[in-house]
Amino acid sequence: MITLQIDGREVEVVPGTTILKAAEKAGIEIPVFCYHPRLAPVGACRMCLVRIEKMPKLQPACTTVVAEGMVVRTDTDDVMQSHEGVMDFLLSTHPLDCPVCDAGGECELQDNAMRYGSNESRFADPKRHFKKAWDLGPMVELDQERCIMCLRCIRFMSDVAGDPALTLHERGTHVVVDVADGRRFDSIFAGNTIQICPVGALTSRPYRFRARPWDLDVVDSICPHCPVGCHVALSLRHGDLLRVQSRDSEEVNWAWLCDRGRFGYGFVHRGPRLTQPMLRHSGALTVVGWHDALGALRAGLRGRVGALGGGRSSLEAQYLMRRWLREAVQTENVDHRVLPLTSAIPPGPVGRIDDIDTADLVVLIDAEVLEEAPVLALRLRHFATLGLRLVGVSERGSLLDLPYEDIRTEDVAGTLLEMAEGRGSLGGALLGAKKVLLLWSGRGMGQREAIGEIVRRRAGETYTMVVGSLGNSYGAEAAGLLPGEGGLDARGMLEAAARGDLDGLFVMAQDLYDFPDHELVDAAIARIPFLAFAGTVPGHTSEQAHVVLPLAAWSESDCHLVNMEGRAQRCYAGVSHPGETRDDWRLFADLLGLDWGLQEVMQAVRADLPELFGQHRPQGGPVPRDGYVATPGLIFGASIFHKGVLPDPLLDRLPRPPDVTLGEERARMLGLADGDTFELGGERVKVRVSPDLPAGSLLVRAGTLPAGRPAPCSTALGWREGGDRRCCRSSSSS
Amino acid sequence: MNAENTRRAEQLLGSFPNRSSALIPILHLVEDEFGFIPEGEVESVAAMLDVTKAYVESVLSFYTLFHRQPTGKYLVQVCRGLSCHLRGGDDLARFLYEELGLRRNGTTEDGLFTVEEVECLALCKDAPVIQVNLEYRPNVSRADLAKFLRQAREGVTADA
Amino acid sequence: MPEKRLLLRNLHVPGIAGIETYERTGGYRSLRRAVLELGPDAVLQEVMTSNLRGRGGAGFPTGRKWSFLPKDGRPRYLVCNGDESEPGTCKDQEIIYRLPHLLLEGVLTSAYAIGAEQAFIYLRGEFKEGYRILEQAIAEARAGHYLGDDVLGSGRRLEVSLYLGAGAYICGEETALLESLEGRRGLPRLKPPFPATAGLYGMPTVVNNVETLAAVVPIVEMGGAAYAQLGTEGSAGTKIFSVSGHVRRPGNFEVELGKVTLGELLNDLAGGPPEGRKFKAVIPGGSSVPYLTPDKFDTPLDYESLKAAGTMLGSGGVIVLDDSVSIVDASLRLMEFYRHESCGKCTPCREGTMWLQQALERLHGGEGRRGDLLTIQGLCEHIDGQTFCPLGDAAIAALGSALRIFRDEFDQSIPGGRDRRVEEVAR
Ligand SMILES: Cc1cc2nc3c(=O)[nH]c(=O)nc-3n(C[C@H](O)[C@H](O)[C@H](O)COP(=O)(O)O)c2cc1C
Ligand code: SF4
Ligand code: FES
Repeated sequence: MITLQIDGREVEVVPGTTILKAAEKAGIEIPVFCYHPRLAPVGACRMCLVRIEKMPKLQPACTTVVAEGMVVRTDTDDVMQSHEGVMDFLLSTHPLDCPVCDAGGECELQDNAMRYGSNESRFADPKRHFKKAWDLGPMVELDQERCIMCLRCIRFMSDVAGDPALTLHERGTHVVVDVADGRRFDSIFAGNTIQICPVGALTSRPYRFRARPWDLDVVDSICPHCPVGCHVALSLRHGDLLRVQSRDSEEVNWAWLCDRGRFGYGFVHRGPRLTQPMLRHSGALTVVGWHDALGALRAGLRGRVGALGGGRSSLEAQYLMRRWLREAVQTENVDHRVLPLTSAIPPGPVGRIDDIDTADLVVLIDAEVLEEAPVLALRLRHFATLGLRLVGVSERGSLLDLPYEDIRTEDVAGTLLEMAEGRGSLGGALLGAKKVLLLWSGRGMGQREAIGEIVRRRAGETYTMVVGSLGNSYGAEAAGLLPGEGGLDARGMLEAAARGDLDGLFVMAQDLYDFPDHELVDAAIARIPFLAFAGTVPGHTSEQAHVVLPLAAWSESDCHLVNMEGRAQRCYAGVSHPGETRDDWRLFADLLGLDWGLQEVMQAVRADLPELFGQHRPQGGPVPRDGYVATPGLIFGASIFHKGVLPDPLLDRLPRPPDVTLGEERARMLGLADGDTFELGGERVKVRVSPDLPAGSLLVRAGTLPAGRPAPCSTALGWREGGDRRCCRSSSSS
Repeated sequence: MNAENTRRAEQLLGSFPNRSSALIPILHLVEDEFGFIPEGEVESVAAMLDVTKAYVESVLSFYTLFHRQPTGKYLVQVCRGLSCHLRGGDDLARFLYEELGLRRNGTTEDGLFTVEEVECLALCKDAPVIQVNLEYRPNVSRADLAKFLRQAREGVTADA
Repeated sequence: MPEKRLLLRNLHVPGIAGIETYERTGGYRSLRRAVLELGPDAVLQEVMTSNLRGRGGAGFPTGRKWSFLPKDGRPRYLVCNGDESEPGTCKDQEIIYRLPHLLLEGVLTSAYAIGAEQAFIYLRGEFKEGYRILEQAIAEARAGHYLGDDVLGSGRRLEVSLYLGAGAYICGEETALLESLEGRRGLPRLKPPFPATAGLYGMPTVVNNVETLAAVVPIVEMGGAAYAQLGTEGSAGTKIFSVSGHVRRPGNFEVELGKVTLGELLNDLAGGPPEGRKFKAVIPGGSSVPYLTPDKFDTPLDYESLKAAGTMLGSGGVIVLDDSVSIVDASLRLMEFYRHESCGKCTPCREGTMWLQQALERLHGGEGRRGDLLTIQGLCEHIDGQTFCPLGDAAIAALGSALRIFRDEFDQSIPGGRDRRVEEVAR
């Protein structure tokens, strides 16, 4: 430890600490602009200069490392003058258009000017002129005149996101931040630059001019879109959710979010919502009261019935749903795995996100981290540049835009088993590494078993996390939304329905067409006598249901979501519920006849599922019955940027992977070329032909397809022998 | 880039301990060939070094010897460093502007001359100094300039 | 007061840029001696003993700088700083264009001494002919086995690569130079780490000025001790001063440090002021140091004396202003330079130089306002010592002294008379 003195106070810090951090520890504030706690310091703005005894010049606190016995002063006259100077300089060229600036009220330039500036600016010369407010990309707007050259955005993009989309152009007084000529700033991490910009140079297009910060209520929540469970803060005005920002979390997301998380809140207000309970009367859905709707649900779910979904529900709802199904409905036909998924809880010890920090080897198994759990990619990149070894084992490659060892195989499970036995190109390294983290898509029983084998055979620490599930699939599985003894899984239920062997089906907050075999879903819906749907937004399932129950959105409910680490994280409610919507857990409490409040349900959950709230890592899930089974040649990719997941008009603006990717041979067979579009269920879908895929295979984004009347994608592409290929009208790209 | 320069660029990529170092020399090749850095070349240079176009633009815009607009056959750089200024450098610039009908730094319509006032050219002892296509002309007078312009227009001046 | 020519000794020998003439006049003897007789450690020792100080501006002892390289087996680099962009300085240009083999021999000998296989010579973009001249010299030296895989049969490998910058004064600053050499924007790097531990491509690196490395040749030839006998205790050896501006015989003059006064340099060597004029002021060390007025012309030209006189030796670019010059005009011209060359990384330099230029433009155009001088003074104080790299300090060094020395002239440029408040501040 090193002891130094700052403004007369003794501070003890570890070697290598900067003066700025030491001062923070001593409770002394030093003003900054270019410094950001999650970025490497650069010392460019010169706002943080301090006086160090025996040094002739003032020194930047953000980059100067402490030394034993150092005597620092942050309150001398020359330090104060230096603050004034930097403020003067920055304000001299700043447009000072605070009244029309989105950042007004949460602007570090304003804040520092209040505290450290002089009363009047001496600058009376004409100001520089740069490009004002224009769209840099789908979500971000730039005003070069407001920029104070802290370089935070540029450093974030190049050092953290690994995509130098933003760069400096020109030099000296002409220097500006910009994208390349003709390029759009469309990184999936672009939104982070808005939040770390200390002024109003980078602003959010969706949020622009919507509110002043002092009118906003802010509540803490968790992002619901993927199993990372990033910490977010919701900004609300008069109950409207206007903005999602990140909250710093050392264990989960650092200070970052992906743009799906930051901008994907449109389903709450922007699109259509289910707001009234409805019953189908002579073919049409009509509004009824909750009492009647619940009565109809109880009456309809009799005999041979089942329940699907719940991976997007709150933990509280999942817990009560399972109890209701077991105690009241008395069925073991339960499955949350509507999307292709085998299990959300891996076999063996469950990893933690910060295991990445100390792992010697991370293996990405069939996982597309950038599409499925984007923020993880930032942590992986950080430690990869520090020497963490990354290996990918998959059919499709291109899992991460980072250098990694890419093991391509059409038999992922077999390759993993080989490795578990110490064979193959990676076997030795895998068995030899001290600490290994496996990031798995969660798809394929064979892969699950092979992972179990690796865990058994390795001597050192081995942890696994499932990256390809929904925002709360872990909770669903922990709460028991899996087929019980003798129960059917998702496919089993749909097949039974299609045969006429199922009398009723309850669907919880998920579209049945998330299930990849759309023909089977069609057949099931056609034969099922009773279909009930509970959820937030309308979709194909609600349109055909006999009973529709409107639920509150995640931002409207006090609840927990469980992330891929098995960590139950608390979401606070933003607003009262629109229309007749109810909290999802309340639905089941009512069905169970429990007169419970939030406290009671949370207590019950905690008592029954203590491992989700504890300090210790969970030890892995039970072997799930059935679930997703891989079809040779048909690859499913999940992507949270796909609109099938949660509809949102803003999503169209985000870059997203192609809906359908073909191996070269498959493309030849179908007469399709890269960039061709074809019509699928009323939607035009663009095809990518990729040499990265096994030549004969087809990759579809699960949950993608399509709006309107869904067509069976596998048939459309001539996947099935003798399938109907007439709906596949290819045309060349425009 | 023409074939010869492409070959040289490829050679440059391998001639430093780190490929990134080849960027500025390759941009020099482009500037030499075209008299500026055309948009399309930015893209191909970026591809060559496996960096983004934004990155290349960012680097080249830092340096004054890379131009984004075409320059004339003769790039005339008039030194305005203090030493040249003291010995009449600005008068040379004024003379060129008058003779060529330019208002400030710019290129004549016939594409023959680009005039730029530049910072100290490091030949202060021979002030005033100009460079024509990066070759020094020390102790230049109005008369020297007039002669240079005449010869250049007649195409007599050795290409340099 | 004669010159003492070590580096420029054979400047006027016809054909000295070619290797034959260079060898005939004693060239490459130092490299031979270094490689075949002394060995690297002894060469380093000679340079230590010589008390040679860096000629690029900062005057840091060269032997000390070399000794900072960690001995850890990593590849190390020597980078020769041929960016020469400091206004008023044209000594490196002369060496590069006319004595290319002297520079090359200095670079090779130094690279040998510090154990670098690879040296780079970074030239400012405008030295394009110099690049070709050095290219030719390298080819000749390679043929003579002075560089290549087996230098002079010693088994040592020495390579020299040329690198052409592209127009940016800041690339003379050593870390910005390294950035540029790595193919990036020339922005100065954060120090520490210093180049000695993490320089070019993150490897241990020594950056030295052209004149510094050229001086290694006579040092090895005559021995460090003999070199140290020249000059004064703190300022050993000879130094080239580039005299430009208002003198009758501008030129590069190599003199023994401390043995010649500024007045002698200007009057005896450079021929005095132009017909009918008087000297007004001199910036003795390139444009980045304070002015000296004729009452200080008896100052000997060495690091310590110039410092005591309130200025610096810097790069040795002596810019001479006679009494016809308007100090506001000269100040504006210099500030335009620094504003143009500020890299833009740090606030005080980026914004301060622009603000100062605008204020000086107003004074220059006869539109100065009361309070402008106070503003200028305040701006200088807000830049002084607070920028990321020394360019900020450089930008205000001459202006600050001009404001002190020629306050009347600044005052008179403001319609409505003197700015009293400045007087108070200045006291
Ligand atoms: C703004 C700035 C410009 C500089 N320009 C040059 C230059 O053109 N040539 C040079 O040799 N050193 C220049 N220097 C000094 C270098 O940073 C460095 O100190 C020098 O190259 C070291 O060599 P030396 O020890 O041999 O003097 C400059 C420094 C600064 C701050
Ligand atoms: S002082 Fe600052 S802006 Fe100026 S050149 Fe140095 S780092 Fe760049
Ligand atoms: S915060 Fe230290 S220089 Fe910007």
